[in-house]
Amino acid sequence: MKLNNIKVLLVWITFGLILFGGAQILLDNQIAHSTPHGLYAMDATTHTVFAEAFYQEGNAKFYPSYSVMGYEDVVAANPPVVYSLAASFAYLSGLSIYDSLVFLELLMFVLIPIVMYLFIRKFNETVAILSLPLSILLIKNPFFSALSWGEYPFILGILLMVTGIWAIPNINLKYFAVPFALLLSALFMAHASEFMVLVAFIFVFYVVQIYFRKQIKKTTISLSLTAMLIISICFHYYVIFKNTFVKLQLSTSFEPIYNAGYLVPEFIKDFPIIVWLILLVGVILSILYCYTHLKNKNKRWIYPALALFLLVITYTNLIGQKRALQIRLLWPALLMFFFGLVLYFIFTKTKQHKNWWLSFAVVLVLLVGFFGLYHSPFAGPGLIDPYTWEGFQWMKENTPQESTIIFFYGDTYNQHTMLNLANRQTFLIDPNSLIENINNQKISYSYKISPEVFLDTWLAYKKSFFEFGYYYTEGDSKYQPFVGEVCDFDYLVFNKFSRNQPLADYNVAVANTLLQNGKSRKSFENALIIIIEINGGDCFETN
Amino acid sequence: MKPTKTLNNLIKEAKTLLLVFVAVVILFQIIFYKESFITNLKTVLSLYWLFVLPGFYSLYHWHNKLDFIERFVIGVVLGFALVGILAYYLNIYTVHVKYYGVIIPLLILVINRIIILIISKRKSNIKHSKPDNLNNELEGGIKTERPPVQLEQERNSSNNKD
Repeated sequence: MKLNNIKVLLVWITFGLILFGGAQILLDNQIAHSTPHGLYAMDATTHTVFAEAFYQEGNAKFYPSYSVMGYEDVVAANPPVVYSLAASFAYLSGLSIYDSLVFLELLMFVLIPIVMYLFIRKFNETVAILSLPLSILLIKNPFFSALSWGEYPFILGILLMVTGIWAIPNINLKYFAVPFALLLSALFMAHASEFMVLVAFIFVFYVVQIYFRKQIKKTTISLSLTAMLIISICFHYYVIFKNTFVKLQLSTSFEPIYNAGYLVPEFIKDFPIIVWLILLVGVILSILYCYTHLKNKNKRWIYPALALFLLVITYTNLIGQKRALQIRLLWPALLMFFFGLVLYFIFTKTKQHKNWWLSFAVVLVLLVGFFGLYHSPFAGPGLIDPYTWEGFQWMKENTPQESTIIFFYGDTYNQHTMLNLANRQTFLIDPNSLIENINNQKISYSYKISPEVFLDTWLAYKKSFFEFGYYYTEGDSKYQPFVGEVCDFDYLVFNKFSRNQPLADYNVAVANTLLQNGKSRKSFENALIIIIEINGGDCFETN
Repeated sequence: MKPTKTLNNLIKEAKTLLLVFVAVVILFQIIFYKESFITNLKTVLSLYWLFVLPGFYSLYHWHNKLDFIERFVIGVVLGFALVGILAYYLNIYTVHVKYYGVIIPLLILVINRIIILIISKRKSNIKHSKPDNLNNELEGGIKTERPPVQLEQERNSSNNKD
C-alpha cells in the first residue's frame, strides 16, 4: 500500500469513528426516525422549532407566530444558514426536518477535525496525521454536549471558521478572494461570534505580512476584494442582526465569566492527565516555533500562531467574552495541532523516526483506544418520547391555529422551548404552584403560568428597512409569568406518569375533576398524555 | 489549456468522485447499520447533489494548487456556505424552500461551468493571439526583441488611431 493511501485511510478511519460514535449516542445508528432523536436540551428544540417553521412555511422571514405570542411580523433574526440547510436537505432527501437538522449537524461536527487536519497538513503532514487521535475526544462529554445540547449555529460557525483558517494561507492565490469571501459571509450569517474571531486573526495575518514586507500589495488587494464581497452579501442580514442581537445582547462589562448556559470544559478536568500534559508541552513548543519562524520571517509562522490563537480565544472569558466558554466545547478539534506537534517531536527524537509505519501504527492504536474508552451506547431518544410526540402531532393536526394550549407538569417540560413543537401558542404551569397545591391537598384552577415566547430579540419588527420596533418594550408585562386560570385556555395537557409520580397523580386528579364537571371533554389520550378541550366559561364549576 | 483538456479533466475527476461516492455509501451503511440501504443511498445522493458537487466544482479553478481531498472536504463546507447564502436571498424573494434543493445546485453548477469555459477559452485565446516570441517568454523560452523599425510602425499606427 502506498504511503499516501495509508494517510488517507487514517483520515477516513478518524471520520468514520467520530461519525459512528456520534451516530450511536445521538441517532441510534439510524438516519430516519418516527420521533425526533438527539434533542437533549432546549437549545436543540428551539432550533428544531425554527427549522420546522421554515420547512412548513417555505420561508423564514418571520418567526412562527406561535413562538412569539401570535405576532405575524416578528423578524426572524436568528442566524439563518442552519435552518435553510436543514430545510433544503429535508425536502431533497425525503427525511423529516428534525432528522435532517440533527444529521447535518452531526456531519458538520465530524468535519471540523478533518478540516483542522487539512490545515495542519500544510505545516507538516506527519504532524497532521499524529494530531488525528485527539479529535476522538469529541464524542466524550462535555465536548459532545455541543451537539447533543443543540449548539447548532455554533457548530456550523466553528466549521466555517476553521475552513476560513485553512484558507488564510491561500489568500494570495488568484481569485481565491471569492471563495474566501463566500466562506466568511456564510460564517457571519451562521454565527457571527466566530466571524469576529476569524476577522481578528486576518488582521494579525495582515500586520505580520506588512512586517515581513512580503506580497503586501497582493494581500491588500485580495483582502479588500474579500471585504467588499462580504459587505455586499451580508448587508441585508447585518441590518437585522445589528437591530436585534447586537443591540439587545452584545454588551460586556469586561468582568470574568465562568458560567454559561451549557457545559463548560476545563483543561485539567476534562482531558486525561497524559493528554493535557501533552497539550501543555505542545503549547510551549508552538510558542517556540512561532517565535523562531517570525524571527526568521518564515511564512510557516502562521500555523503555530493560529493554533495558539485558537487556544487564547477560549480564555477571553476572563475579559468578559462569554462565547469563549462555548468555543472550548470543541477543544479536541481546535487543539489538535499541539497534540500532533508533541508526538512528532517525540518521534523525531527516537531512532525509529524514519519508520513512518510506526507513527501510523501509533495513530491507529490511539484512535481505536480513545474510541474504546470514550464511546457511549445509545441512551434514548432525548427530550421527546414517542407518546409526547404523538400528542404534539395531534395538536398540530386537530386544533385551530390560533388556539392556546397549557401544559401541566411533565418530566422534560423544564426544557420549555420543546412545547413550541406543538406549533401552537403554548404555556407552562410553574411546577412550584402545583407542589404547593399537592402539599395543601387542594385542586384549583388558578396557577402561576409562564408563556412560551421567544424573547431573545425582544419581538423585533420592522418599521422600515433600517428602523425596528420592539413589541416587548411596548408591553413587557404580557410576556412575564403571571397568575391565571386554566379555564381561559383552549386545551390542557396532562402527563399521567412521571419520575415525580405525585405530580403526575395530581395531573390526573385535575383532569378527572374537569371531565366530571362536564364543561370540557377529553380530545386525545395515549399511554402518557391526556389532552382536554375546554368549552369555555368556568370549567371547574359543575353543571 | 484547451477546453477539451478541461473536459477530460472534469470527466477524470467525476470518476474519482463516483468512487468516493461508493465509499461513502458503504461507510454510511456500516455506521447507520439500522437504516435501510435505500434511505442511506438517498441521503448520500442528496448530500452529493446539494453540497459536494457545487462546492467541489466551485474550487475547480484551483485544481492545480489543491489536491483532491482538500477540494472534496473544503468543497463540502463551501457547499454549505453557498447553499446558505443563496437560500437566504431566495428566501427574501419568497421562493419556497422545497425548490432550493433543485435551483441552488443547478445554478451553482451552471455558473461554474460557464466560468470554467470562459477562463479556459480566454487562456487558449491569449495563447493563440500572442506572437511567437511572447509564447516563448511565457514558456520559459528565449526573449526576443522586436526590431526598432517594427516598433516605430506600431507607434505611428496607434498615433493615427488617436
